[in-house]
Amino acid sequence: MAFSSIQSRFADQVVRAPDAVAVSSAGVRLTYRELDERANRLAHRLRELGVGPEVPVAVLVERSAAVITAFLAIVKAGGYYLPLHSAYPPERQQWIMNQSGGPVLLTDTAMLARGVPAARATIVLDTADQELSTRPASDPGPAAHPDQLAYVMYTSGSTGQPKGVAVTQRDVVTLATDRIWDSGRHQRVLMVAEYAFDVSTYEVWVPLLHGGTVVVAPHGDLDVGTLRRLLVDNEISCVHLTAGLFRVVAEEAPESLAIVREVMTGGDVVAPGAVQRVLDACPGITVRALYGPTETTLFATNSPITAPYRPGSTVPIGRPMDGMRVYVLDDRLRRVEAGVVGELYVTGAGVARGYAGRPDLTAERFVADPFAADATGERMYRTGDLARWTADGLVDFVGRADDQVKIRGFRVELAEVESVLARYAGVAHAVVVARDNEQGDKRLAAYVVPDGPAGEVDVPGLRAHVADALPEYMVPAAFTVLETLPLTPNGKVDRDALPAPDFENVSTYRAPRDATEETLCRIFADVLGVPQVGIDDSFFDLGGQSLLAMRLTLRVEAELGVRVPIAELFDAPTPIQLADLVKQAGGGSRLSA
Amino acid sequence: MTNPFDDQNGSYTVLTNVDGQHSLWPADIDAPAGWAIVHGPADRGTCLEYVKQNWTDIRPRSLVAHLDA
Repeated sequence: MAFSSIQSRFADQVVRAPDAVAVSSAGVRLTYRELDERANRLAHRLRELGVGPEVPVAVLVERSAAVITAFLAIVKAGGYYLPLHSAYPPERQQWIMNQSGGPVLLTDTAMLARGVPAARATIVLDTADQELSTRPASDPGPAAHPDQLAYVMYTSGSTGQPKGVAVTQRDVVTLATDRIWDSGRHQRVLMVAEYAFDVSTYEVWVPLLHGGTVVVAPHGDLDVGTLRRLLVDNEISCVHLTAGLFRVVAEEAPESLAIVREVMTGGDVVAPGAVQRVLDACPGITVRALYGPTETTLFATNSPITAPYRPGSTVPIGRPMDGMRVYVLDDRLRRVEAGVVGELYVTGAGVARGYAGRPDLTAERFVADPFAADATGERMYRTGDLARWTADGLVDFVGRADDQVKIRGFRVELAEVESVLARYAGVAHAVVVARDNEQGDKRLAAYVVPDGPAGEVDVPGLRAHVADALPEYMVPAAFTVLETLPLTPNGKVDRDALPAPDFENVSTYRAPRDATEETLCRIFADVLGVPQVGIDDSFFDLGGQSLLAMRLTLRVEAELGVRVPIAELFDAPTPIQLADLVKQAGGGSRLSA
Repeated sequence: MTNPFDDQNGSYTVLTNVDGQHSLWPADIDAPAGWAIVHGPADRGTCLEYVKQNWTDIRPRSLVAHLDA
């Protein structure tokens, strides 16, 4: 059968149901015909700028309908999209642009105001309507080859620089046409992920290539209340939540998910207890656990779970997606028996082209498949994940074989953080480890050795240096200066012998002065998993991040009766400031009940 | 367990397939069908350097031929 590209499958839907709603976003509804025409006009403009097969176009916009118009237009022009994360430091955004040879940039007014990287040409999508209106509304129409690129997404790299995973048209179409989407449960999908991460491949292309609707959540971090409202108001049928967010929703408000028919989760270890809480509260829905690195196009395996559910010690990641195979192999590349731990390899459809511009990294991760049925030279991706087969023929994720960790579901290569630390003046050696806090959330701890015997390291300066170079989730939560690093007998850094990190050392403890402050200090300490918090301590300096902020605002609402949007927490991140907000809103603790 | 592709002191070869794609490969394991040895046995660093020098465009050959046509 001839290959049917992303754009031709989308065109089929435009013909089939031109007036169906393709995208719904705050104040914007686009039918399939409207989205098609909008994307076509932009695609013609991109063609004029030289975009065609194997040509990148960077995208840096707020989460909005523009993301979808941009992705579709780029693909229609024959090019591939290079999504930039709005929370990345400018240095990292520019580095990614430069690696791609200075592409055209699609952006919006909001991003322009914050500063965008230098580009060959820049189109501001929300003010470009007049300019684009002169372009034809018809499809620019170059046919796509299955092996040409659809997107390149950057992920943390162990060599000290991020690496771009190059994904083809065939990879995307194979994922979007898997039979697991044929259940009718993916007609109204909520787009909540950061579009620079590969979950957007599901959120955008599965609905659009099936005649469904993408409902775009507002830009920024969501709280559970907003999530619930979005699900109900938009009659969402399926949503993908990262494993961390899934756990927060399961623990704080599992009934929020009763409206959907399926909730998908993955990106990190899925907690069996969280699955149970959700299925207890919403026995009619399917929870689908999914696994897959960006290198195998979002998902490689999946496991649908329905009530009655009896939680085991893990949630198996399930069976391969259509057209994919997985192997669990020993250190001689032999298959291991069920129950034996080995390394997980993924082969078949969906295995990406490799790392953009990095043949060496590609050749060591995308390797010859010794089990391919024919002699066509098929490749398999070695994931670096440890796994075993269960007796039921499911894959069970066991852990990592190397120094890659997941921080709130984001892939982090410890070596990349170490290499940024080591570039700072006065640092001779740097080691970064991930440590669990009391809630089981991983946090990064940095250890640095000063240059020279009497050397000193300016820790606030070092923290700022790291924050300028790396996304927030890669910035260590604790910095410890050591005279020397502990070594193993064969001369390697003994990570287990490093002293416990002091995640609380940024606290300048000042005691609460009234009941509201006391309640807030206690909630802060509970949520952050630290023994005590003073009224001047900033939630974010103590390691608070978006998932923890979500918990914090839920607790504040439950105990003090005031709903504080997460956006306001950024402006009032200390107990003393938050107490003011609570009191202004008429909430608070009475001294005695 | 050291992954057979990650042994810094190991001996490796470089394989290629019909699309010109390159793969690092442990020298003491037979090359899979559809792949030919183009370099090695040699140490890991030398093999990766060979890949860098000789596989400068990671697009599959069939795609390059299509785009040039």
